Amino acid sequence: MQQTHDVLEQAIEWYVKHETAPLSLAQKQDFEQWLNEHDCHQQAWQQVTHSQQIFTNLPLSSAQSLSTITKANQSRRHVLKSIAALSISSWLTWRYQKELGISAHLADHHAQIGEQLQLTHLAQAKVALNTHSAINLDAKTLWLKYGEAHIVCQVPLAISSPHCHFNAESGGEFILFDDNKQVRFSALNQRFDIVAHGQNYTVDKDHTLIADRNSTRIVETPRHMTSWTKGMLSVSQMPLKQFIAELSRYLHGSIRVAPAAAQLHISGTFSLTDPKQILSQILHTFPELTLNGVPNAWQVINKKT
Amino acid sequence: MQIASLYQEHHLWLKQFLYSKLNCQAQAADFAQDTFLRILNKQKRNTLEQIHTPKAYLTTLATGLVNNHWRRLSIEQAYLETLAAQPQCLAPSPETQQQIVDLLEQLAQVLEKLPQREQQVFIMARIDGMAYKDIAEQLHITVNMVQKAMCKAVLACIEVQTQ
Repeated sequence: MQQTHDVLEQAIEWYVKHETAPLSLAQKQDFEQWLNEHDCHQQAWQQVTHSQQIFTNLPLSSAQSLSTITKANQSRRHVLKSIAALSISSWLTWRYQKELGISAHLADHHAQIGEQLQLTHLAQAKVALNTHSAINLDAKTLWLKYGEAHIVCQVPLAISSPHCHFNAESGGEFILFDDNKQVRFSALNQRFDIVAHGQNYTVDKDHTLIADRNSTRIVETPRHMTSWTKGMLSVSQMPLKQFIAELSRYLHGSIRVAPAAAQLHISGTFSLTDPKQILSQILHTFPELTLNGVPNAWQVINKKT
Repeated sequence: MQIASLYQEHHLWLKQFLYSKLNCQAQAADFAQDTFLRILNKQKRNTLEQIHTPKAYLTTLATGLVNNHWRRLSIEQAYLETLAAQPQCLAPSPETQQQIVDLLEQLAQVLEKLPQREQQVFIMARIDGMAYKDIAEQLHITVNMVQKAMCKAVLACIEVQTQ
C-alpha cells in the first residue's frame, strides 16, 4: 500500500514537471527510465494522466464551474442544516437561499438581509458589511463569501471573493460587491490592481469596476455605490428597474418591475434604516404605480392601466 | 469481518438514523442498503479498515452517502440554472449534460479537499488552462509553489476518483 502511494506521488511529480515546461533531454531520459522501471509506474502514470485529462472535457468557464458549485454548495449546506425541511427540493432551496440566509452561519461574520454591520474590533481591517453579506477572515486573507463589504485594511491583506481577487496594502480602502450576477469594485483612496473573472484590471481612485457575465467597464464611482456606508441609498436619475434591484437587496423576497414601469427614473436620498418605507415612498410619489403579489415573497410593480 | 452480523445488528438502527435525516422511509432503506454495499465493496477491494466502533463507522459512512446524494442533486440543479442562462442553441445533449454534472461533482469534491490557494491554482491550471508561470505571476507566488499546489490537487483528484 505504502509502495503504491509513493509510486503515485512520483507519477504526480513527473506529471507536474511535464506541465511546468518542456523537459530537457536529460529529464526526458530520466522520465523514460522511471516509466519503464516497473509496470506499476506505468499504471500510476496512466492513472494520473487520466485523472487530469477528464477535466479538459468540461465545456464551462472557470467562473461558470465555480458559480455552479458555489450555488450547489450553498443549497446543499442549507439542506443538511435543516433536516426537517429535507423534502424541499434543492432547487427551491437554491431559489430561496437569500430568504433563508443559507451558509451565513458558516461564515465568520455575516449581516442579515436589511442589516448593516460595523466590524471595528478586527485587527486586520475595519469592515462594514452591507445587507446579506458574509466574510471569512484569517491573519492574511479576507474572503468575501457573498454580498458587499466596505474595507479599510490595517495590514496587507489578500482579498478574495467568488469572482475576484487581489492584494491590498495596509491603509487601502475599497468596496467590493460580488454576487452571481455581478462584481463591483470601488477604489476609494488609491489605485488597485485586481483580477475579476480571471482578467487583470487597474482601478484608479474614485473609480468602480463593474463586471458581469457579458461586459466589464470602469466608471467614475456612482453615488449609490458608496452611499450605503452612510446608511443611505442615494441615486440620481436611476431607472426604476435598477433602483428596485438595489432596494430589493435590503428586503426579503423578490420584487420585479414590469416592463411598462421600468423606464421611470428615480432621484433622491433614502434612509436604509427602514427599506420597506422606501418602497412605500416610491409608490406614494408615483401614484400611477401598483404593487401586487405576496409581501416578503414575490411582488411585482406595474403601471395602472 | 462478519458483514452479516454487522448487518443484522445494525441495519434497523441505521435505517432509523437515516429516516431521521431524510424523512422518507424508502430513501432511508435505500441509503442503508447502499451503506452496507459500500462496506462490501471495500472488503472486496481489501480496503476495509478495522471497524472498532460500528455505530460511529456506519453513521459516518451513511452521512457521507447522504451528503454525496445532496451534492449531486444540488449540482445538477445549479448546473441546469447555469444552462438556462445560456442561449438554447448552445445547450449540450442530455448525455453530455450528465457527464458535465459528473465532472462538476468531482471538481466540487476535489475543491473541498484543498486549501484556498491550491483551489485557485488548480482552477487556473485545469479549467482556465493557464501556464504555471502565468499562474505564479498572477498570484504573486513562485512557480515552485504552483508545482507544489498542483501536486496536492492532482493527488486530491485521484483520491476522489478512487474513493
